[in-house]
Amino acid sequence: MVFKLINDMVSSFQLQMDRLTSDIHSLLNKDLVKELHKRNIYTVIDLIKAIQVDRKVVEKISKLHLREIVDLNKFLLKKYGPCAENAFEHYQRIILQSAILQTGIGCLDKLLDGGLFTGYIYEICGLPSSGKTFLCLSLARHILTTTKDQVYYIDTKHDFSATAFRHMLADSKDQAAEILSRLLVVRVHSRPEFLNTLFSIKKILRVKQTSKLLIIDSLPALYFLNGNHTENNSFLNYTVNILNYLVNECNLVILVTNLITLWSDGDIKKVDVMKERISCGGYWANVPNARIKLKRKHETCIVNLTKAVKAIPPNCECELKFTSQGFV
Amino acid sequence: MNQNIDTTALPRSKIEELKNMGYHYCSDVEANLEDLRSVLNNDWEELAKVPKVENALEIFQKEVLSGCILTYNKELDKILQNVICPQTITEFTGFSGSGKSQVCFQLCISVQLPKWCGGFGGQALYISTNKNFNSSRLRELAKNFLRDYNSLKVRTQKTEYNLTEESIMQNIHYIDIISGEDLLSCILLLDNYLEGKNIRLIVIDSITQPLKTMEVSARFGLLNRFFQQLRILSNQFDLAIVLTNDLTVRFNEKDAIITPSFGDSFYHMVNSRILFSKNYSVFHAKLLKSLNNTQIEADFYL
Repeated sequence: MVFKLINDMVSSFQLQMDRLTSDIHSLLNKDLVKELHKRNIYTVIDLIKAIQVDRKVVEKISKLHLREIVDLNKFLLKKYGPCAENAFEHYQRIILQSAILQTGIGCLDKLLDGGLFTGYIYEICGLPSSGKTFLCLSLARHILTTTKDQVYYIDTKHDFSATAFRHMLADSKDQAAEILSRLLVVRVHSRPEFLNTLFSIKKILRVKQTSKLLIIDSLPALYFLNGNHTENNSFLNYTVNILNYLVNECNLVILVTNLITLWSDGDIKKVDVMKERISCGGYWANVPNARIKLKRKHETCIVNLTKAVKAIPPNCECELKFTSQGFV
Repeated sequence: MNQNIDTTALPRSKIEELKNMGYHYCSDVEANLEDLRSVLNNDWEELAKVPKVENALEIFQKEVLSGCILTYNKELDKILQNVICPQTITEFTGFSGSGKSQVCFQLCISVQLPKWCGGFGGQALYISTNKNFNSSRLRELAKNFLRDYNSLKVRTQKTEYNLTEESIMQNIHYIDIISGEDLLSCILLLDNYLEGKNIRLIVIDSITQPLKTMEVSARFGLLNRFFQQLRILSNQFDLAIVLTNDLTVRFNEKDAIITPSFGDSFYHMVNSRILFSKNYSVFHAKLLKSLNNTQIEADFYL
């Protein structure tokens, strides 16, 4: 039998560090919580550790019976620990909840094996002005016109122009206002704002799934803000955690745009050779489940699939045309 | 999954203090906000603030009402349609003498066009780093502008909204900058200066000079902080920003390519880029990057 851990607690592979309160369990009354706090046992993990280290001490503080403490311990582990899920159940849940969002671009759908799968993070990368934002808008347009879902758009450098998007909706006539009202744009300027936004989206989607697509345009604008590697990694870590949670638990497709820059190598012999480099560092490079690379060529855009959800198809290239309604 | 307090903008020391007190998640802090007043001093609401979620319809209505800044030069305006909008950053690039500063002067005047004829009725701030600011040329352009404006007023039989050469000149603020550090500190302190004034356009001419004098390793971080601050300002005061940038040479194997300075990450951070050039007396402008993704060119005279 195969067991699979679902990452309900991607943030720490151990227990959650929720603060002990009196509404967790009937045995934990207000006085007991106060007493525990006094002895530096603040969080769920602190209490479980204390029980593991010396059950007698906890017994003394709480004046509970051994049986009750064991029950409490079991309850806490079940509620706050990672839970194992049978592979078959997991498979059934995935089949029930997930969906494939078609992109509306024939050759891109073929390349992506049908479209965008919920539960995955897709990255769109390319040199500046290669059509990354335009591809995002084309996909948003297709989802908004063919379904009744909302689309979230996190804009980090004010690249979203509603006027430009309205032009792409020229043939939907009187429905245009309704379509526009379902595209929710958040403009963020700093990292904490960005993470607050992601957590607030999580809160909304946990209540009711009103959206299947979240677009983040662009990540490097936030990543570049700081040159400190430790802070950058910690920022990416928290971002990746919440993104993983959103795709898995809220069944979203997340599109992230990333930048490719040209660099000359440090090597003296090759000092005049420019190399392409994907931004946001080596850690991020492993995060997206699929990577779509764009390259502009006059009025068309060459799309290259460099990382795929399943296997990369033998023909991993296709050509998109810029039109007034988006990519075709 | 809960939000860790590490993700907020709280200072490191405060985070450590909270963690020692057993608070690891934002939700826990929120539930005990009254007890934590002494540690947090009422900052929490600001820290936990989620940026406003707007739907595209609201944004569209705003964009239609505010419009964009044009030069009222018929040929050039073909490419400036929906480019220099409030809350965006536009980059002008080209060799010296290709008309970048001239177009900037013109924008400083045309942002003052009153609202009744589709303008912004605002003021402009000109931050000069290369002493290219020329007030006599500005006066000349203002004279031409007034001639057109007054004939329009006669045609539409309007009597109010008088503009004079003096008022136009008075509505252009000017700051002189020497070094890169000056530029950043100027931008960081600018919100005090902008308060209460109706400034709708900031021109930085040019961004190249002060940054080139800095060490390469310091430049990258500075540039990004600079962009972040510009975006916050442009959002807060609903203003458009225009930067000018010089060209440089880049080598790739045996080719030498002429490109604007500061590489690809700089190019990524601006919303639109216009390349200017000059051939005898004809000026040429090419829109390389824009929000609606069209590349168009135009010839014009100044």
